[in-house]
Amino acid sequence: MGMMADRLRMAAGLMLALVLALFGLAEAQDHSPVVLGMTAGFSGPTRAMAVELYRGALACLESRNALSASGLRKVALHAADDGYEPGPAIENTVRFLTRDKALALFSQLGTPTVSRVLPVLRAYADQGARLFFPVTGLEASRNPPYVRYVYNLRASYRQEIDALVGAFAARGATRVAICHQADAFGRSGWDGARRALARRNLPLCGEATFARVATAGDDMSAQAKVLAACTPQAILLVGPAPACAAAIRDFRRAGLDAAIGVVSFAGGELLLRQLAAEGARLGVDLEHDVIFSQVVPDWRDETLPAANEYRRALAELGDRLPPPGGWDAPASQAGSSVGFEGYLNARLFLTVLDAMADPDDRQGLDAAAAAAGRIDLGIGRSVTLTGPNHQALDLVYLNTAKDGRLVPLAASLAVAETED
Amino acid sequence: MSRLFRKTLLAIVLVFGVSANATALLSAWLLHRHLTDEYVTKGRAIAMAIAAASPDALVSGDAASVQAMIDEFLRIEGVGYVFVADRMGRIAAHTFLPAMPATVPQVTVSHQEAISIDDAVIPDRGDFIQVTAPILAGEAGQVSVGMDKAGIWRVMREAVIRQEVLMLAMFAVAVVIFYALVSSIARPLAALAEYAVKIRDHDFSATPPPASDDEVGVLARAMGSMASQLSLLVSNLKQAVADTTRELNDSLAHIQAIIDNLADGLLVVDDAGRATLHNPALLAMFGLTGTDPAGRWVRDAFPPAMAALAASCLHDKALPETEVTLHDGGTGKVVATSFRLPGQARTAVILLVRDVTVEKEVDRMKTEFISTVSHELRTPLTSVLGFAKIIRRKFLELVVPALPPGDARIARGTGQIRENLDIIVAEGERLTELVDDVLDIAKMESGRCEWDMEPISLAAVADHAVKAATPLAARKGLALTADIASDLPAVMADRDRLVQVLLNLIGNAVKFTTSGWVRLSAAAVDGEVRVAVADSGAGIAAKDLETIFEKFKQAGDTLTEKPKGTGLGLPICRQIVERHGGRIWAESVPGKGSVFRFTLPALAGPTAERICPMVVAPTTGGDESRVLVVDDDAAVRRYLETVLTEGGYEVATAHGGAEALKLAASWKPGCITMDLHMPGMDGREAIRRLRADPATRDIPVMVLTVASNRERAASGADAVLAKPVDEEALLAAVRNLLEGPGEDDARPCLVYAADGGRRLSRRFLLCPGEVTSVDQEDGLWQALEKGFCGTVFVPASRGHDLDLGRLSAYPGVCVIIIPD
Repeated sequence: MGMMADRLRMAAGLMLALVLALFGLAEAQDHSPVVLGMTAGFSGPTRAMAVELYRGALACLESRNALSASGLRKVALHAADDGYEPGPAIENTVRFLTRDKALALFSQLGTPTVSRVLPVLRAYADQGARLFFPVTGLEASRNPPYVRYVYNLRASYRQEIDALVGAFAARGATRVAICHQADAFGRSGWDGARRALARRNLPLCGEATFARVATAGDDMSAQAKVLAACTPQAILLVGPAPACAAAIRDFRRAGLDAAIGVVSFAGGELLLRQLAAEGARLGVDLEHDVIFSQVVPDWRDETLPAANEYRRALAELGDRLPPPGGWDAPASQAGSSVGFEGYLNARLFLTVLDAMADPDDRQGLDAAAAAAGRIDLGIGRSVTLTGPNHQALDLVYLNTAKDGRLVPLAASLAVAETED
Repeated sequence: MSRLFRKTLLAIVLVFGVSANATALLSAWLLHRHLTDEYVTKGRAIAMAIAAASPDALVSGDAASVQAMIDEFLRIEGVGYVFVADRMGRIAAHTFLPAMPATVPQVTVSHQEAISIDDAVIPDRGDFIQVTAPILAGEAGQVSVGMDKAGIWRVMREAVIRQEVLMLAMFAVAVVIFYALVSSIARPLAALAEYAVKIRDHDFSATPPPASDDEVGVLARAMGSMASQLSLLVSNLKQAVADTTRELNDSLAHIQAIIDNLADGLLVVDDAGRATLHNPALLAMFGLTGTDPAGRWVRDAFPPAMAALAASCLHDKALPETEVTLHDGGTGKVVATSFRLPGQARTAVILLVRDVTVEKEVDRMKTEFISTVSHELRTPLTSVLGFAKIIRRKFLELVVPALPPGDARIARGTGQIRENLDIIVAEGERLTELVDDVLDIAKMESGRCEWDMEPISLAAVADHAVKAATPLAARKGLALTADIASDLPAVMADRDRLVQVLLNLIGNAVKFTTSGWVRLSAAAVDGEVRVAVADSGAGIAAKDLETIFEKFKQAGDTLTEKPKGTGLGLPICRQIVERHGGRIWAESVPGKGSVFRFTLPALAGPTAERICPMVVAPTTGGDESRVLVVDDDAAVRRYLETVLTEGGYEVATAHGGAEALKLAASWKPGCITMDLHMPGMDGREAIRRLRADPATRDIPVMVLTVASNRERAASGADAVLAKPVDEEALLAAVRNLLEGPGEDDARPCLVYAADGGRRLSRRFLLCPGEVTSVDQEDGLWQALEKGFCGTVFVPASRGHDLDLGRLSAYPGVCVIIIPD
């Protein structure tokens, strides 16, 4: 009796599964979009950055989806908030890989989060888990053992720091200090600074840290005091926009008139906006003598097709598909270097996607990336993902600020560092 | 809240507080140790985990990965900081803000040590336990994990606070439970205590609190029954006290009434001599009515005699009574008794004062009556007997020789007259004797007899009696012998009465013995003197041995036999002997004789005879042939006049004192006989006046009276004779007064002179008796102490040095100072 019942139940189960599978295939081929999973700090210190990043990427994907009436699969960007914390980032990553059946992980934001997600990628390597274009200059994502699972677009922090140190050195600065976020992101900046200075036979004259969760309202006078001890001629600042804004404000208030260099993670325009707000509040010009390192070209450069398309896509996007936490009203229509990075990330990924034989099979991602070969992103030069560091761009763009806008200083090709 | 609860609550709070805090401290300490261990363990685990995970990143110079790793561990509870140093000792990553302090110890651990645990004190950050582990055996670097001790303290504090809160909660629950318990115990206890207080305040009507079944209930019931018993006891006690008080009051009132209504005066004197109790009678006696002598000195409020009596009674001196003069002039007799106050160590004296004025008066009247009766009986007897004797003498001397002899009728008549006169004399004498005896016994029985008690020698008395009785015995041809022991002790006795007893007994023996002998013997036996008078007479029947001592009872048939006495002799003897503290009885063998014995208590040691009758020196106041007779009774005057005239004296008579004084002054008699009891001026007054008048001062006076010895002594007379007067005795006495004592009466003389008095003038040294001389003063006093009785001659030259007062104080001693 029991055997009979089991067999009957098994047969019924098989039948049902078959029917569902047929329906599913039909749906997938016809309707279901390719899913990209994006986890970022939509809350916390990186919120503005995350939102800009998402908007830039989404603008690119939506413009393609709008064109994809004829046979092309739509691409959906699933965004999840991790609050710039590794734990939620890992959870979101695993959920994208398993439940959401995301094709790939996309544009994860932040060094501390990404550095913890890398082992997850390795763990899910058998399922073809890949992270495309994390928005971080982390060395680990460009080096073994994790470089296999990651594809980067931007230059590394080391390259950014090296470019900044080079700029400082060119200005004759010999005492360079660093103030960095007390986490892996800050440490990688610190590491980069150390190496860049060492290469120029300069010491790191002073260092200070601040908390990862620091906001613009935080008091950084303690850090100012620590750094003032070595009377630096230049200070490297490694952190997100709010912390950098607070640091620059308090350094200036403490009388530190050294040149300050900030990395791309500070968000460029985002930092500028906060500096303007703080400066207006205090009646001080905080933009002065601050060098912004960027890893994408100027998005306003009308000579670049990508920049033009980015601005147009943003305008087309409007207020659709808001990220977790909604759109931030004032910045919704304007572009930014962060948003442009997100746009470029999405544009590069679409190129890879087009090269895939089966858009549902993650195992084909590596092959597609390799097959894409040299790619024209519309930024004046072709890029490739096949390098040993899986890094598409090695360019660092230095800017200064003037009247609330970034002014390109020089674009330097960061040295492709070899590991120590 | 009851005090019990408060106290116990306090104790509980204390115990709880101490135990809670001790427990909290202990657990805090244990927790601290445990947490420290745990932190060290945790730090070690973290350090080792980092050490195990970081070599690749460290070797590859990937500081960011190292940082990411240590940031992860920083999230672990208790981790204060982590830093990693590379092989060169440079810091590869750390978690400090804003910078890594210079005070953080950087320890290099070799791979042998495996781990190092250090204490890190970082200013402004706190204390940490720093665990350092080598990475890749120190080849890659070192990792140090700082475990924040503040975490330990925080956890500890939280644990302690939780514990204290728990303790407080338990305490609150305990207090509530305890309160309930204590209330259930304390409420009945408090009620019980209230009840006990009520009982203490003698409120026995209080209802005991309701009793439960526990110990308190038992206590309550026990107290309830106790209270009821107490109530019963107290009411009984109150009743008893009330009864006793009433009885006591009654008794006191009774006693007070007795005291107040006592006819005698009552006075209680304390040992200090203050009056403490008295009665109205006493106040009335001393005229103190209306005053309160209580508390005053007895000597101030009462006659001194009473104070003296009280004091002497207090000091146990024998002075049991005295007489005082009362307020109204009467006489009070005070009797004192000392007693010890019950419950006190003090002695008090009770003085009882009785108004004996009336008794005194009656006494005096009785005495007077007896004196009068004696006087009135004896005075005629004196005359009757005296004249009868004179008649008989005259008849025999004058009439009989004048009668013609040979006439038988006349001879027979003469013999008859003579016989009749003899009978008259004999009966008169018997009547005199009877009157004397009756008066004697009357006086003795009424206690009116006066006793001159003095230590005397029985030997002398016996000698005197034997001498007096010898003629009587000789007349009957009886041999009267005396056997007196030589060492007889003295006895306290009245000499005259003792002589009376001896004479009576000897007289009886002579009277009732027809032939043979009469013997008087005396000996000292067992502290008393035994005297026996034995005879060889007819004896006395055994049935009469006792009755003969009764009044008017004589042995034999008084109706058929002629009585040979008054029948009062032996009763008088018994009275006298018993008055002296002795016994008298008779022993007899009928036909062989009788023995009359009596005893007298002996004094300690023999005492010399001190009794020496004063011998009146012959005076030459008047004509030695003249005698003045003073008596109010004419018969007595006539009789005395007859006797004295017959004796060869010229006699004048006076019937009263006044006449006697006149005659004494004018007629100048050589001697005066004086009756004491006379109308008008009595004998005593007459003698006083005679002595007061220089003209009559030296006339010797002889009192003839029936008055007592004391009266006679007090009369101031030179000689005394009791009525009825014997003719011969009267003449002898008169002769004695007029001519001095005879040879028999010679008294010895003691001369206090150096040479035996030979050089003294013989003119003055006239001594009829034996003369001895002493030349030393000691010898004089010794002689006197030995009982010398007589005249002491002292030369004037030696009289100045002699204590004449002491000398003249010896009884029976005359002192004559003579010129030398």
